Amino acid sequence: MADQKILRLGEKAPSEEMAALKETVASCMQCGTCSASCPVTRAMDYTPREIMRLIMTDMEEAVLGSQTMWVCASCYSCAARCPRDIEITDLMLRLRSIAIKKGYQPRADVAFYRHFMSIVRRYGRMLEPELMIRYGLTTNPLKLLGMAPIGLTMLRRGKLAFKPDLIKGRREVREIFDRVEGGGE
Amino acid sequence: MKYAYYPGCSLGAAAREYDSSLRAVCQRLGIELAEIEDWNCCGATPATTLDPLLSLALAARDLATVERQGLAMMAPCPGCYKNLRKASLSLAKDEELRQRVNETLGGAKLQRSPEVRHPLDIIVNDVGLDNIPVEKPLQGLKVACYYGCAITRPRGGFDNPENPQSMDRLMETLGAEAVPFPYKTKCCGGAVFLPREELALELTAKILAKAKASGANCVAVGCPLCHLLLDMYQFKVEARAGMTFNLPILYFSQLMGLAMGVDEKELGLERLAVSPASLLREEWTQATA
Repeated sequence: MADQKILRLGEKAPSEEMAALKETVASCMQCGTCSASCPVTRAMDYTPREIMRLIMTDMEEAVLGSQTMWVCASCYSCAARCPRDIEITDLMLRLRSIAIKKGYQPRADVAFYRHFMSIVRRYGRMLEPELMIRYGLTTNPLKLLGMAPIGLTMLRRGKLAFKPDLIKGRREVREIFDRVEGGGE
Repeated sequence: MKYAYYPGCSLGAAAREYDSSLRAVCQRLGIELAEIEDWNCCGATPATTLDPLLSLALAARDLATVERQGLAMMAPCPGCYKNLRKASLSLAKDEELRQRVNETLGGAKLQRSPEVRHPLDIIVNDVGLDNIPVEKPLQGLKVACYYGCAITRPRGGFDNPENPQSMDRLMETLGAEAVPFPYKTKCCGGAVFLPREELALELTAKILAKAKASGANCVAVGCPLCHLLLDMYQFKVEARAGMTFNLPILYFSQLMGLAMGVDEKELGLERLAVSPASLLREEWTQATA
Protein backbone atom coordinates (compact mmCIF):
# COMPACT_ATOMS: atom_id res chain seq x y z
CA MET A 1 0.00 0.00 0.00
CA ALA A 2 1.25 3.46 -0.93
CA ASP A 3 4.48 3.27 1.07
CA GLN A 4 6.21 5.94 -0.94
CA LYS A 5 3.60 8.48 -0.04
CA ILE A 6 4.08 7.73 3.64
CA LEU A 7 7.75 8.66 3.36
CA ARG A 8 7.11 12.12 1.93
CA LEU A 9 6.58 13.83 5.23
CA GLY A 10 5.15 17.24 5.97
CA GLU A 11 4.46 18.60 2.53
CA LYS A 12 2.37 21.43 3.86
CA ALA A 13 0.69 22.56 7.04
CA PRO A 14 -2.56 20.77 7.84
CA SER A 15 -5.92 22.48 7.48
CA GLU A 16 -7.71 23.58 10.62
CA GLU A 17 -9.94 20.48 10.61
CA MET A 18 -7.07 18.07 10.13
CA ALA A 19 -4.96 19.83 12.76
CA ALA A 20 -7.77 19.21 15.25
CA LEU A 21 -7.88 15.54 14.30
CA LYS A 22 -4.12 15.30 14.59
CA GLU A 23 -4.41 16.21 18.25
CA THR A 24 -6.88 13.41 18.87
CA VAL A 25 -4.50 10.81 17.41
CA ALA A 26 -1.34 12.16 19.01
CA SER A 27 -1.09 9.26 21.45
CA CYS A 28 -1.27 6.59 18.71
CA MET A 29 1.72 4.26 19.01
CA GLN A 30 1.06 2.44 15.73
CA CYS A 31 0.44 -0.88 17.43
CA GLY A 32 -2.00 -1.90 14.70
CA THR A 33 -4.68 -3.30 17.02
CA CYS A 34 -7.23 -1.25 15.05
CA SER A 35 -6.23 -2.81 11.73
CA ALA A 36 -6.12 -6.30 13.21
CA SER A 37 -9.62 -5.84 14.64
CA CYS A 38 -11.15 -4.23 11.56
CA PRO A 39 -13.38 -6.65 9.62
CA VAL A 40 -13.17 -4.71 6.34
CA THR A 41 -9.52 -3.78 5.82
CA ARG A 42 -9.34 -5.82 2.62
CA ALA A 43 -11.66 -3.35 0.92
CA MET A 44 -9.65 -0.33 2.14
CA ASP A 45 -6.77 1.39 0.36
CA TYR A 46 -5.14 2.34 3.68
CA THR A 47 -5.64 0.35 6.87
CA PRO A 48 -6.87 2.26 9.95
CA ARG A 49 -3.34 2.22 11.39
CA GLU A 50 -1.99 3.72 8.17
CA ILE A 51 -4.67 6.41 8.25
CA MET A 52 -3.56 7.32 11.78
CA ARG A 53 0.02 7.63 10.61
CA LEU A 54 -0.96 9.67 7.57
CA ILE A 55 -2.84 12.09 9.81
CA MET A 56 0.12 12.39 12.14
CA THR A 57 2.41 13.18 9.22
CA ASP A 58 0.07 15.71 7.59
CA MET A 59 -0.60 13.67 4.47
CA GLU A 60 -3.93 15.37 4.13
CA GLU A 61 -4.66 14.61 0.48
CA ALA A 62 -3.90 10.94 0.89
CA VAL A 63 -6.20 10.77 3.92
CA LEU A 64 -9.12 12.71 2.49
CA GLY A 65 -8.90 11.05 -0.92
CA SER A 66 -8.88 7.62 0.66
CA GLN A 67 -11.61 4.98 0.47
CA THR A 68 -10.96 3.87 4.04
CA MET A 69 -13.54 5.94 5.91
CA TRP A 70 -16.21 5.11 3.33
CA VAL A 71 -15.55 1.40 3.67
CA CYS A 72 -15.65 1.66 7.48
CA ALA A 73 -18.77 -0.17 8.69
CA SER A 74 -18.68 1.79 11.98
CA CYS A 75 -18.63 -1.43 14.00
CA TYR A 76 -16.47 0.18 16.71
CA SER A 77 -14.18 -2.86 17.05
CA CYS A 78 -11.11 -0.61 16.69
CA ALA A 79 -12.35 1.92 19.25
CA ALA A 80 -13.29 -0.80 21.75
CA ARG A 81 -9.80 -2.27 21.61
CA CYS A 82 -7.51 0.75 21.15
CA PRO A 83 -5.04 0.63 24.05
CA ARG A 84 -4.79 4.43 23.89
CA ASP A 85 -8.57 4.92 23.92
CA ILE A 86 -8.57 6.81 20.66
CA GLU A 87 -12.08 7.07 19.23
CA ILE A 88 -11.00 5.71 15.86
CA THR A 89 -14.50 5.01 14.52
CA ASP A 90 -15.67 8.53 15.30
CA LEU A 91 -12.53 9.76 13.62
CA MET A 92 -13.42 7.81 10.46
CA LEU A 93 -16.88 9.39 10.47
CA ARG A 94 -15.30 12.81 10.99
CA LEU A 95 -13.00 12.19 8.02
CA ARG A 96 -16.09 11.61 5.89
CA SER A 97 -17.57 14.96 6.79
CA ILE A 98 -14.26 16.77 6.24
CA ALA A 99 -13.77 15.03 2.90
CA ILE A 100 -17.27 16.05 1.78
CA LYS A 101 -16.71 19.64 2.91
CA LYS A 102 -13.43 19.84 1.03
CA GLY A 103 -14.91 18.38 -2.13
CA TYR A 104 -13.07 15.09 -2.16
CA GLN A 105 -16.06 12.80 -2.38
CA PRO A 106 -18.13 12.60 -5.51
CA ARG A 107 -18.84 8.91 -4.94
CA ALA A 108 -21.90 6.71 -4.62
CA ASP A 109 -21.41 6.54 -0.86
CA VAL A 110 -22.06 10.27 -0.51
CA ALA A 111 -25.19 10.00 -2.65
CA PHE A 112 -26.52 7.44 -0.21
CA TYR A 113 -25.89 9.59 2.88
CA ARG A 114 -27.32 12.71 1.23
CA HIS A 115 -30.48 10.96 0.08
CA PHE A 116 -30.92 9.50 3.55
CA MET A 117 -30.69 12.87 5.22
CA SER A 118 -32.84 14.71 2.69
CA ILE A 119 -35.63 12.23 3.49
CA VAL A 120 -35.20 12.83 7.22
CA ARG A 121 -35.16 16.57 6.58
CA ARG A 122 -38.53 16.42 4.81
CA TYR A 123 -40.45 13.87 6.87
CA GLY A 124 -38.61 13.79 10.19
CA ARG A 125 -38.24 10.03 9.79
CA MET A 126 -36.86 7.52 7.31
CA LEU A 127 -38.84 6.11 4.40
CA GLU A 128 -36.81 3.12 3.26
CA PRO A 129 -38.36 2.43 -0.18
CA GLU A 130 -37.81 6.05 -1.21
CA LEU A 131 -34.19 5.84 -0.11
CA MET A 132 -33.61 2.63 -2.10
CA ILE A 133 -35.23 4.06 -5.23
CA ARG A 134 -33.52 7.45 -5.09
CA TYR A 135 -30.17 5.89 -4.36
CA GLY A 136 -30.62 3.32 -7.12
CA LEU A 137 -31.62 5.94 -9.69
CA THR A 138 -28.66 8.24 -9.00
CA THR A 139 -26.01 5.53 -8.83
CA ASN A 140 -26.88 2.42 -10.79
CA PRO A 141 -30.47 1.97 -12.00
CA LEU A 142 -29.67 -1.64 -12.91
CA LYS A 143 -28.98 -2.32 -9.27
CA LEU A 144 -32.61 -1.50 -8.56
CA LEU A 145 -33.55 -4.60 -10.54
CA GLY A 146 -31.22 -6.63 -8.37
CA MET A 147 -33.05 -5.33 -5.30
CA ALA A 148 -36.44 -6.40 -6.66
CA PRO A 149 -36.53 -9.92 -5.15
CA ILE A 150 -35.83 -8.57 -1.68
CA GLY A 151 -38.28 -5.73 -2.20
CA LEU A 152 -41.00 -8.23 -3.13
CA THR A 153 -40.30 -10.45 -0.13
CA MET A 154 -40.44 -7.43 2.15
CA LEU A 155 -43.66 -6.34 0.50
CA ARG A 156 -45.27 -9.74 1.05
CA ARG A 157 -44.15 -9.71 4.68
CA GLY A 158 -45.66 -6.27 5.26
CA LYS A 159 -42.26 -4.75 5.87
CA LEU A 160 -42.41 -1.86 3.43
CA ALA A 161 -43.95 1.48 4.27
CA PHE A 162 -45.24 3.40 1.27
CA LYS A 163 -46.36 6.55 2.94
CA PRO A 164 -43.96 8.72 4.89
CA ASP A 165 -44.54 8.66 8.63
CA LEU A 166 -44.77 12.46 8.83
CA ILE A 167 -44.01 13.97 12.20
CA LYS A 168 -45.74 17.10 13.45
CA GLY A 169 -42.47 18.85 14.18
CA ARG A 170 -41.22 18.73 10.58
CA ARG A 171 -40.61 22.41 10.62
CA GLU A 172 -38.54 22.11 13.80
CA VAL A 173 -36.49 19.38 12.15
CA ARG A 174 -36.00 21.43 8.98
CA GLU A 175 -34.85 24.36 11.08
CA ILE A 176 -32.30 22.15 12.81
CA PHE A 177 -30.86 21.31 9.39
CA ASP A 178 -30.85 24.97 8.40
CA ARG A 179 -29.21 26.17 11.59
CA VAL A 180 -26.46 23.56 11.41
CA GLU A 181 -24.09 24.82 8.79
CA GLY A 182 -23.27 22.24 6.13
CA GLY A 183 -26.07 19.89 7.09
CA GLY A 184 -28.71 18.64 4.71
CA GLU A 185 -28.73 19.28 1.02
CA MET B 1 -41.41 0.20 35.72
CA LYS B 2 -41.90 2.81 33.01
CA TYR B 3 -39.70 3.90 30.13
CA ALA B 4 -39.89 6.42 27.32
CA TYR B 5 -40.07 4.26 24.21
CA TYR B 6 -38.10 5.25 21.12
CA PRO B 7 -39.07 2.77 18.39
CA GLY B 8 -36.94 4.41 15.70
CA CYS B 9 -37.67 4.25 11.98
CA SER B 10 -37.01 0.53 11.39
CA LEU B 11 -39.48 -0.72 13.98
CA GLY B 12 -42.33 0.87 12.06
CA ALA B 13 -41.36 -0.86 8.82
CA ALA B 14 -38.79 -3.59 8.21
CA ALA B 15 -38.60 -4.57 11.89
CA ARG B 16 -42.31 -4.53 12.69
CA GLU B 17 -42.12 -7.91 14.37
CA TYR B 18 -39.43 -6.62 16.73
CA ASP B 19 -41.75 -3.79 17.76
CA SER B 20 -44.88 -5.92 18.26
CA SER B 21 -43.09 -8.76 20.07
CA LEU B 22 -41.19 -6.38 22.32
CA ARG B 23 -44.30 -4.43 23.25
CA ALA B 24 -46.16 -7.68 24.02
CA VAL B 25 -43.30 -9.05 26.12
CA CYS B 26 -42.88 -5.77 28.02
CA GLN B 27 -46.57 -5.73 28.83
CA ARG B 28 -46.32 -9.24 30.29
CA LEU B 29 -43.29 -8.23 32.32
CA GLY B 30 -45.00 -5.17 33.76
CA ILE B 31 -42.83 -2.74 31.83
CA GLU B 32 -44.86 0.26 30.77
CA LEU B 33 -43.75 1.91 27.53
CA ALA B 34 -44.67 5.53 26.86
CA GLU B 35 -43.85 6.22 23.21
CA ILE B 36 -41.92 9.45 22.85
CA GLU B 37 -44.20 12.07 21.40
CA ASP B 38 -43.41 13.10 17.84
CA TRP B 39 -39.93 11.58 17.87
CA ASN B 40 -37.64 12.17 14.90
CA CYS B 41 -35.02 9.97 13.25
CA CYS B 42 -31.83 9.84 15.31
CA GLY B 43 -29.79 10.54 12.17
CA ALA B 44 -28.05 7.14 12.20
CA THR B 45 -24.59 7.23 10.57
CA PRO B 46 -25.61 9.45 7.65
CA ALA B 47 -26.15 12.52 9.87
CA THR B 48 -22.71 12.35 11.42
CA THR B 49 -21.24 11.61 7.98
CA LEU B 50 -22.55 14.94 6.76
CA ASP B 51 -22.00 16.90 9.97
CA PRO B 52 -21.39 15.72 13.55
CA LEU B 53 -23.32 18.71 14.91
CA LEU B 54 -26.38 17.73 12.87
CA SER B 55 -26.26 14.26 14.41
CA LEU B 56 -26.12 15.68 17.94
CA ALA B 57 -28.90 18.17 17.25
CA LEU B 58 -31.31 15.55 15.88
CA ALA B 59 -30.62 13.35 18.89
CA ALA B 60 -31.01 16.31 21.23
CA ARG B 61 -34.54 17.06 20.02
CA ASP B 62 -35.57 13.54 21.03
CA LEU B 63 -33.61 13.63 24.27
CA ALA B 64 -35.24 16.93 25.25
CA THR B 65 -38.69 15.38 24.81
CA VAL B 66 -37.71 12.44 26.99
CA GLU B 67 -36.35 14.82 29.59
CA ARG B 68 -39.80 16.38 29.89
CA GLN B 69 -41.27 12.91 30.39
CA GLY B 70 -38.82 12.45 33.27
CA LEU B 71 -38.07 8.87 32.27
CA ALA B 72 -35.17 6.77 31.05
CA MET B 73 -35.36 5.93 27.36
CA MET B 74 -35.67 2.46 25.86
CA ALA B 75 -34.18 2.25 22.36
CA PRO B 76 -34.46 -1.24 20.80
CA CYS B 77 -32.52 -0.47 17.61
CA PRO B 78 -28.81 -0.55 18.48
CA GLY B 79 -28.09 2.09 15.85
CA CYS B 80 -30.47 4.51 17.58
CA TYR B 81 -29.36 3.28 21.00
CA LYS B 82 -25.71 3.97 20.30
CA ASN B 83 -26.38 7.33 18.66
CA LEU B 84 -28.74 8.63 21.33
CA ARG B 85 -26.70 7.28 24.23
CA LYS B 86 -23.51 8.74 22.84
CA ALA B 87 -25.16 12.11 22.24
CA SER B 88 -26.70 12.08 25.70
CA LEU B 89 -23.38 11.34 27.39
CA SER B 90 -21.36 13.86 25.42
CA LEU B 91 -23.95 16.61 25.84
CA ALA B 92 -24.09 15.98 29.59
CA LYS B 93 -20.33 16.30 29.84
CA ASP B 94 -19.72 19.30 27.63
CA GLU B 95 -21.72 22.38 28.53
CA GLU B 96 -20.40 24.50 25.69
CA LEU B 97 -21.38 21.84 23.17
CA ARG B 98 -24.80 21.53 24.76
CA GLN B 99 -25.33 25.25 24.37
CA ARG B 100 -24.33 25.12 20.71
CA VAL B 101 -26.69 22.24 20.10
CA ASN B 102 -29.51 23.90 22.03
CA GLU B 103 -29.19 26.94 19.77
CA THR B 104 -30.19 24.76 16.83
CA LEU B 105 -33.35 23.52 18.59
CA GLY B 106 -36.53 25.52 17.97
CA GLY B 107 -38.54 23.63 20.59
CA ALA B 108 -37.58 22.33 24.04
CA LYS B 109 -33.94 22.65 25.03
CA LEU B 110 -31.85 19.98 26.66
CA GLN B 111 -30.96 20.62 30.31
CA ARG B 112 -29.86 17.35 31.79
CA SER B 113 -29.32 14.31 29.63
CA PRO B 114 -31.69 11.37 30.09
CA GLU B 115 -30.44 7.83 30.35
CA VAL B 116 -30.63 5.77 27.14
CA ARG B 117 -30.96 2.00 27.45
CA HIS B 118 -31.33 -1.10 25.30
CA PRO B 119 -34.25 -3.44 26.13
CA LEU B 120 -31.87 -6.37 26.75
CA ASP B 121 -30.29 -4.34 29.54
CA ILE B 122 -33.67 -3.47 31.03
CA ILE B 123 -34.95 -7.05 30.86
CA VAL B 124 -31.82 -8.65 32.28
CA ASN B 125 -30.91 -6.01 34.85
CA ASP B 126 -34.13 -4.20 35.86
CA VAL B 127 -36.69 -6.97 35.51
CA GLY B 128 -34.21 -9.74 36.30
CA LEU B 129 -34.00 -13.19 34.72
CA ASP B 130 -35.67 -14.79 37.73
CA ASN B 131 -38.79 -12.73 37.12
CA ILE B 132 -39.45 -13.89 33.58
CA PRO B 133 -42.53 -16.14 33.59
CA VAL B 134 -41.53 -19.08 31.35
CA GLU B 135 -44.59 -21.15 30.44
CA LYS B 136 -43.27 -23.11 27.47
CA PRO B 137 -39.53 -23.68 27.80
CA LEU B 138 -37.64 -23.52 24.50
CA GLN B 139 -36.13 -26.98 24.83
CA GLY B 140 -34.60 -28.20 21.60
CA LEU B 141 -33.72 -24.74 20.36
CA LYS B 142 -29.99 -24.25 19.95
CA VAL B 143 -29.52 -20.54 19.73
CA ALA B 144 -26.49 -18.61 18.46
CA CYS B 145 -26.79 -15.27 20.26
CA TYR B 146 -25.69 -12.60 17.84
CA TYR B 147 -25.17 -9.21 19.49
CA GLY B 148 -23.58 -7.41 16.55
CA CYS B 149 -21.77 -4.12 17.13
CA ALA B 150 -23.63 -1.33 18.80
CA ILE B 151 -25.29 -3.17 21.70
CA THR B 152 -21.94 -3.31 23.48
CA ARG B 153 -19.47 -1.12 21.62
CA PRO B 154 -17.48 1.01 21.84
CA ARG B 155 -17.48 0.46 25.60
CA GLY B 156 -19.03 1.51 28.88
CA GLY B 157 -22.38 -0.13 28.18
CA PHE B 158 -24.24 -2.81 30.08
CA ASP B 159 -22.38 -5.83 28.73
CA ASN B 160 -18.86 -6.91 27.83
CA PRO B 161 -17.88 -5.79 24.31
CA GLU B 162 -15.65 -8.83 23.72
CA ASN B 163 -17.82 -11.60 25.12
CA PRO B 164 -21.27 -10.33 26.05
CA GLN B 165 -23.49 -12.67 28.06
CA SER B 166 -26.88 -11.02 28.59
CA MET B 167 -28.63 -12.62 25.61
CA ASP B 168 -27.03 -16.02 26.31
CA ARG B 169 -28.28 -15.95 29.91
CA LEU B 170 -31.69 -14.84 28.71
CA MET B 171 -31.92 -17.74 26.23
CA GLU B 172 -30.91 -20.22 28.92
CA THR B 173 -33.57 -18.79 31.21
CA LEU B 174 -36.11 -19.42 28.43
CA GLY B 175 -35.02 -23.07 28.35
CA ALA B 176 -33.05 -22.88 25.10
CA GLU B 177 -29.43 -23.87 24.71
CA ALA B 178 -27.12 -20.91 24.00
CA VAL B 179 -24.40 -22.46 21.85
CA PRO B 180 -20.85 -21.12 22.19
CA PHE B 181 -20.65 -18.67 19.29
CA PRO B 182 -17.32 -16.98 18.63
CA TYR B 183 -18.77 -14.46 16.13
CA LYS B 184 -21.34 -13.03 18.52
CA THR B 185 -19.95 -9.50 18.19
CA LYS B 186 -18.63 -9.61 14.62
CA CYS B 187 -19.98 -6.95 12.29
CA CYS B 188 -22.55 -7.86 9.58
CA GLY B 189 -21.79 -4.72 7.56
CA GLY B 190 -25.31 -3.39 8.08
CA ALA B 191 -24.29 0.27 8.25
CA VAL B 192 -22.80 0.16 4.73
CA PHE B 193 -24.99 -2.49 3.13
CA LEU B 194 -26.49 -0.20 0.47
CA PRO B 195 -23.36 1.53 -0.82
CA ARG B 196 -21.15 -1.52 -0.17
CA GLU B 197 -23.40 -4.52 -0.62
CA GLU B 198 -20.72 -7.03 -1.62
CA LEU B 199 -18.83 -6.35 1.57
CA ALA B 200 -21.91 -6.76 3.75
CA LEU B 201 -22.83 -10.05 2.04
CA GLU B 202 -19.32 -11.35 2.64
CA LEU B 203 -19.40 -10.47 6.35
CA THR B 204 -22.90 -11.87 6.79
CA ALA B 205 -21.89 -15.15 5.11
CA LYS B 206 -19.15 -15.64 7.69
CA ILE B 207 -21.54 -15.07 10.58
CA LEU B 208 -24.17 -17.47 9.22
CA ALA B 209 -21.54 -20.13 8.43
CA LYS B 210 -20.09 -19.84 11.91
CA ALA B 211 -23.52 -20.06 13.55
CA LYS B 212 -24.21 -23.21 11.58
CA ALA B 213 -20.80 -24.66 12.46
CA SER B 214 -21.45 -23.88 16.13
CA GLY B 215 -24.40 -26.26 16.05
CA ALA B 216 -27.11 -23.61 16.21
CA ASN B 217 -30.54 -24.28 14.71
CA CYS B 218 -31.49 -20.61 14.93
CA VAL B 219 -29.97 -17.19 15.65
CA ALA B 220 -31.22 -14.58 18.13
CA VAL B 221 -30.66 -10.90 17.37
CA GLY B 222 -31.51 -7.51 18.88
CA CYS B 223 -30.89 -5.27 15.86
CA PRO B 224 -33.06 -4.50 12.80
CA LEU B 225 -30.06 -4.13 10.48
CA CYS B 226 -28.45 -7.39 11.60
CA HIS B 227 -31.85 -8.99 11.13
CA LEU B 228 -32.30 -7.57 7.64
CA LEU B 229 -28.99 -8.98 6.49
CA LEU B 230 -29.08 -12.32 8.27
CA ASP B 231 -32.72 -13.04 7.48
CA MET B 232 -33.95 -11.06 4.47
CA TYR B 233 -30.63 -11.24 2.62
CA GLN B 234 -29.94 -14.85 3.61
CA PHE B 235 -30.91 -16.25 0.18
CA LYS B 236 -28.62 -13.72 -1.49
CA VAL B 237 -25.78 -14.57 0.87
CA GLU B 238 -26.36 -18.26 0.14
CA ALA B 239 -26.24 -17.69 -3.61
CA ARG B 240 -23.07 -15.67 -3.35
CA ALA B 241 -21.28 -17.99 -0.92
CA GLY B 242 -22.51 -21.17 -2.61
CA MET B 243 -23.78 -22.51 0.70
CA THR B 244 -27.17 -23.34 2.17
CA PHE B 245 -27.92 -22.10 5.67
CA ASN B 246 -31.70 -22.23 6.06
CA LEU B 247 -31.22 -20.70 9.47
CA PRO B 248 -34.19 -18.90 11.07
CA ILE B 249 -33.22 -15.54 12.56
CA LEU B 250 -35.46 -14.36 15.40
CA TYR B 251 -35.50 -11.29 17.56
CA PHE B 252 -34.76 -12.15 21.18
CA SER B 253 -38.17 -10.67 22.00
CA GLN B 254 -39.89 -13.16 19.67
CA LEU B 255 -38.17 -16.05 21.44
CA MET B 256 -39.18 -14.57 24.79
CA GLY B 257 -42.75 -14.30 23.58
CA LEU B 258 -42.81 -17.95 22.50
CA ALA B 259 -41.50 -19.10 25.88
CA MET B 260 -43.84 -16.81 27.80
CA GLY B 261 -46.87 -18.04 25.88
CA VAL B 262 -47.60 -14.70 24.18
CA ASP B 263 -50.18 -14.93 21.37
CA GLU B 264 -48.21 -15.80 18.22
CA LYS B 265 -50.03 -13.13 16.23
CA GLU B 266 -48.24 -10.49 18.28
CA LEU B 267 -44.88 -12.11 17.63
CA GLY B 268 -45.01 -11.62 13.85
CA LEU B 269 -43.27 -14.91 13.05
CA GLU B 270 -44.89 -14.89 9.61
CA ARG B 271 -42.94 -11.75 8.76
CA LEU B 272 -39.61 -13.58 8.85
CA ALA B 273 -38.10 -14.38 5.45
CA VAL B 274 -36.60 -17.67 6.67
CA SER B 275 -39.60 -19.34 8.24
CA PRO B 276 -39.08 -20.80 11.71
CA ALA B 277 -42.18 -23.02 11.28
CA SER B 278 -40.40 -26.34 10.74
CA LEU B 279 -37.84 -25.54 13.45
CA LEU B 280 -40.58 -24.87 15.97
CA ARG B 281 -42.64 -27.84 14.84
CA GLU B 282 -39.83 -30.38 14.67
CA GLU B 283 -37.26 -29.28 17.22
CA TRP B 284 -39.27 -27.43 19.82
CA THR B 285 -42.52 -29.36 20.17
CA GLN B 286 -40.74 -32.71 19.98
CA ALA B 287 -38.54 -31.76 22.86
CA THR B 288 -41.43 -30.52 24.99
CA ALA B 289 -43.80 -33.37 24.12
